[in-house]
Amino acid sequence: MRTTAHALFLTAGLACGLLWASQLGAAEPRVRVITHRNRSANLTESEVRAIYLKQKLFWSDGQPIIPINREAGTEARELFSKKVFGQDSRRLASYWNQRYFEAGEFPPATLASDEAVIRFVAGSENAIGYVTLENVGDAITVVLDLR
Amino acid sequence: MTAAASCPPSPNGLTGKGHAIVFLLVLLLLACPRSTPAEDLPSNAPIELGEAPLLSAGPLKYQPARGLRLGSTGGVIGGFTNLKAESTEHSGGEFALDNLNFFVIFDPVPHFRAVAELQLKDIFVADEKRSGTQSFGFDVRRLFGDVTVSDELQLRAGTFLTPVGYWNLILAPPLTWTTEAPLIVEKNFFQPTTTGFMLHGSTGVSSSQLGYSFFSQFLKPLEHNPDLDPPDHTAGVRLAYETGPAWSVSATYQAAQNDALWSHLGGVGLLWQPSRGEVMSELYVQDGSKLSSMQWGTYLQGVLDVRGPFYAVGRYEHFDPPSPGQTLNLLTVGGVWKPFPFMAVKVEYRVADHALEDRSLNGFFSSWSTLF
Repeated sequence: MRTTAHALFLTAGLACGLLWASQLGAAEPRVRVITHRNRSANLTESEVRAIYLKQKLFWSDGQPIIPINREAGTEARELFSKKVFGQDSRRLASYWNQRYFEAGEFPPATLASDEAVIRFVAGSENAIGYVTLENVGDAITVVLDLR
Repeated sequence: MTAAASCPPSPNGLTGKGHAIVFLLVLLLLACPRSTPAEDLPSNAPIELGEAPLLSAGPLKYQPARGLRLGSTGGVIGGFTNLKAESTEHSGGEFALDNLNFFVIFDPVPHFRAVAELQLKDIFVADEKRSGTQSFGFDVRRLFGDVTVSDELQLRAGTFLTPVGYWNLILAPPLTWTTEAPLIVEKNFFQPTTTGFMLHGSTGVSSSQLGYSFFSQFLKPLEHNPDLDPPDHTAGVRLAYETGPAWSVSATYQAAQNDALWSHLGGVGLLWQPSRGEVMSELYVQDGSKLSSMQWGTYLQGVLDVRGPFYAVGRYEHFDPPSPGQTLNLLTVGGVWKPFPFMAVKVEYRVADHALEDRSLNGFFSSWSTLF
């Protein structure tokens, strides 16, 4: 009886240890906000939020900002929404419904993959996007790392 | 002398200055060059209905709730509709195709946008005595142009939603949580639209945004509605402080002149969107020589995400009208099903402790509404 109890205790301890170790080893999900390499100034989280809510429309040189979203439901979009807006992407729909109704404003365009976002941002000095990829290449700048 | 007095209204309710604004807007629409907006970017993964084109035929792309984009012209046609069924102590049962509103948006360049809202109203009404079209009408409800100078400075001219509180900026039924609007934002304190100009913009303050709107009405509304009693002149300011869309507070002041009589409106509002619901509240106080005495009113509305697209809604309202009107307390409870973010099926029951102008406010209300 006592041996069984010891075995159970040991197994439970081992399971807890493995779980803890797996948590240590897991990569922390992160989203990197990217711009063209010619726009290297870092952005704050509140600036990125204002850009993606289309409250901030222009770069400091007066050029229009083109924010690019990933599709709702993707890991990148949901992580970005949670970290920047504190809401999932579906909740933000009501904000865009209101902006559309009140001012004819449309939400940012979406692209289908991280690679597509990188390609687009690399080709447009006025664009801003976000990706979960680690390797973003030389053509763009990471202006905010959301961990 | 008022603007209305110096420019006699035409048969459709437009003043000479109104015509001039419409003409200028049309000129701007025609004159603006076309560039490629971000919304035209390719996307081939429509994950969320309403976020990517559902139908595409040549240059035409239809996106639910965001309308039909007309190729590279920069034009978009969208709108909303509302079917309503109610049973009230005052008028019994009624079914109505209440609204069919069209948006025409012209968004050709980053610095300019024009928006029109065209309204077909009272299209079909059936009650216990009759059915058919009773007061069918067509109106230009809104028509304005927005010129964006910078993030901090934008100019809007034409007929636009009066920037007061929160509810008045989400007047479309698919955007609201109840079929019936709170009494105090329905018609008692201010006009839903302003015809004139507005300077507006926002700037970052700490980690939040501070937005402002200075607005003034000096023309008669485009909408020809005998129920409207628009002021001759108004001037107002609204400040809104918000952290993302999660929470926001706002304050508004508006002075209005009607037949040389003045009224002054003060209002504050709160919008909080925690993860499982929403709280919205507004309070208005109005006084001045236009009123027999001060009036004030408030409401507090809560929404709870019960499960997925099903929501429970409750609202308390208090309205203290000018004397000799009787103070009213109203309670509304109901439920909302939102199969898509742009569509809502609402049912609610409203009970009031007194009648308003001998009209009972108690009743059952339901509606189906969608942006298209």
